[in-house]
Amino acid sequence: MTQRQLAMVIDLNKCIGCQTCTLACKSQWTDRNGRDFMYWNHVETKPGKGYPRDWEQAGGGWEAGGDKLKPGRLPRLAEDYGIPADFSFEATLFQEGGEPLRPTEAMQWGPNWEEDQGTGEFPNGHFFYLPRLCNHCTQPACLAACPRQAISKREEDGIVLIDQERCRGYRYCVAACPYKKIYFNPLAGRSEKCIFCYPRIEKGIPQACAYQCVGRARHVSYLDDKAGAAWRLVHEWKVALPLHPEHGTQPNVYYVPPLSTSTFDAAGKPTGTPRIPDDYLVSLFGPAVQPALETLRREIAKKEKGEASELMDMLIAYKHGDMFRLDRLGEQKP
Amino acid sequence: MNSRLALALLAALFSTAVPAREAAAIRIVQTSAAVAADPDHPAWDAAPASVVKLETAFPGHPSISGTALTQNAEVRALSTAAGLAIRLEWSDPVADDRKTQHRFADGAAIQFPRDGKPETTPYMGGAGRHVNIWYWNAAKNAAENLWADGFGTLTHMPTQDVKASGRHADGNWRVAFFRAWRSNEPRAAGLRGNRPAAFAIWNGANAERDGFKAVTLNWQRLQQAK
Repeated sequence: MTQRQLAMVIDLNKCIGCQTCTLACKSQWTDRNGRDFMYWNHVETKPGKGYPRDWEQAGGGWEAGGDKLKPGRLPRLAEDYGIPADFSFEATLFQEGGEPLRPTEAMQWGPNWEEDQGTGEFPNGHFFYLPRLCNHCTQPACLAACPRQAISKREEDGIVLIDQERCRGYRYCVAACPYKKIYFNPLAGRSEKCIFCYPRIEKGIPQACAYQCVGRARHVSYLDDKAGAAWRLVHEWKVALPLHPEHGTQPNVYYVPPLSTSTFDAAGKPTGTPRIPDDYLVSLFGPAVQPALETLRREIAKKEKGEASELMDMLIAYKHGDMFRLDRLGEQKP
Repeated sequence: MNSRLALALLAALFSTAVPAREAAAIRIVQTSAAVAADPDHPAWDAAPASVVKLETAFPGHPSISGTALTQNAEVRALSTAAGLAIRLEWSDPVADDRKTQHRFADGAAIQFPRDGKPETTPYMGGAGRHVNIWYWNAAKNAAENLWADGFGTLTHMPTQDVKASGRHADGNWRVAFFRAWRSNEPRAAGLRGNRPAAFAIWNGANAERDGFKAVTLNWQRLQQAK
């Protein structure tokens, strides 16, 4: 446990899958030098295989008991991440023939390959968006897996970093991360990952993905800051939950789970059963998802009746600036 | 039975980690040819091949597991006017000479105790007794000059004055290393005279990297030809 832990809460009811976060991250950190295929932040459509493909079946994390790492496999470029293809801009935009814009090489997968596919049959099809980035875990499997102590967790904010001087590209961390959010850069011969925009954080500026989010879906604050959204949503209201807590790494990116409209029966009448099955949400966020959804429904109902709801006001985020509290220790505002 | 042999037998009985092995003597043959790091230079034909036995290295960390594939390598050594050249040759049906997201490249290394003494542990050295490692990786087909003083301490040297070049043909790798007799690197091992040396081979197709490798468990002996 570090002295402090910076945490992010992503409200999945507000994520519209626009990928502004993805591009904010990419243009800042991963658009060059062998990182083209990497998306430190991406948004995938759930249910789906995700990015890298089938990451939820790729192993990693801790055995129950937390003293032994589970084996994991390394994703492949073309099949699991997707090649960083060029597109036929020249032919489409500057040549006659009406060629549609296409990748110049055949692609097998990509970071947003299954956009809006989801699952289920009309009229009960469903999907939602799941933005993903390094969870800056409290018990990082990647850190434990590295034989060279190249991975560290900062005392002042719990950000997990790979020392690029010490890393030799052995990729035990890639296999160990159950979220597959560490990427091997073949050009550099080293592994790389989301740095939680620490150079911005050190200046009191939120991460690019959070700050650029047009849906105001991302809150950032220290978990010990009881006036911050992270503490309030995670510990006070208990509506923000870690993804796949069963891996035992204690992630510090939390999600407000998605509500969904009712399914319809054969006669076209609403059944009252949400389209996104509870079982599926439990498989992602653990059993705490059910009381979290109940709290959200209750507070939404209050708002619908014109009553006050502190929780809804916080999630609506009337003021963009209220979503971020990044004051370092000793500098905190009341 | 001399006492060293008795100890070795005792160690073999009570330890599986460090079985007793006779160290191979690798004769360093003088040549007037400028061999450098050319694995196919005809001068190598004059150097006798010593076969060193390789076994899976002691893992040293819970992440490292598996059985390394390479079981032996031929070692040749040539003393030239400019420096020392050592060639490793081993069987590997497939050349893994690319690092991709999920693939590892073949590799080879030679380790020397900095102080030239066999009392330094061959398992990456130890506190106060560091080792100098020449590492070749098929993806770069070049050498890296490294030092270490224990598991997990491997560090790139400021002075990169080791050359290496490999060629894969007929199911075999041949990799030649070369360094000038004198190095400006304070942590570099001396090369003159008889020297202990240890060898390691990585088979990339078997995901061998880091401490997952085939090694000579004991120091071998580089001996100047009389």
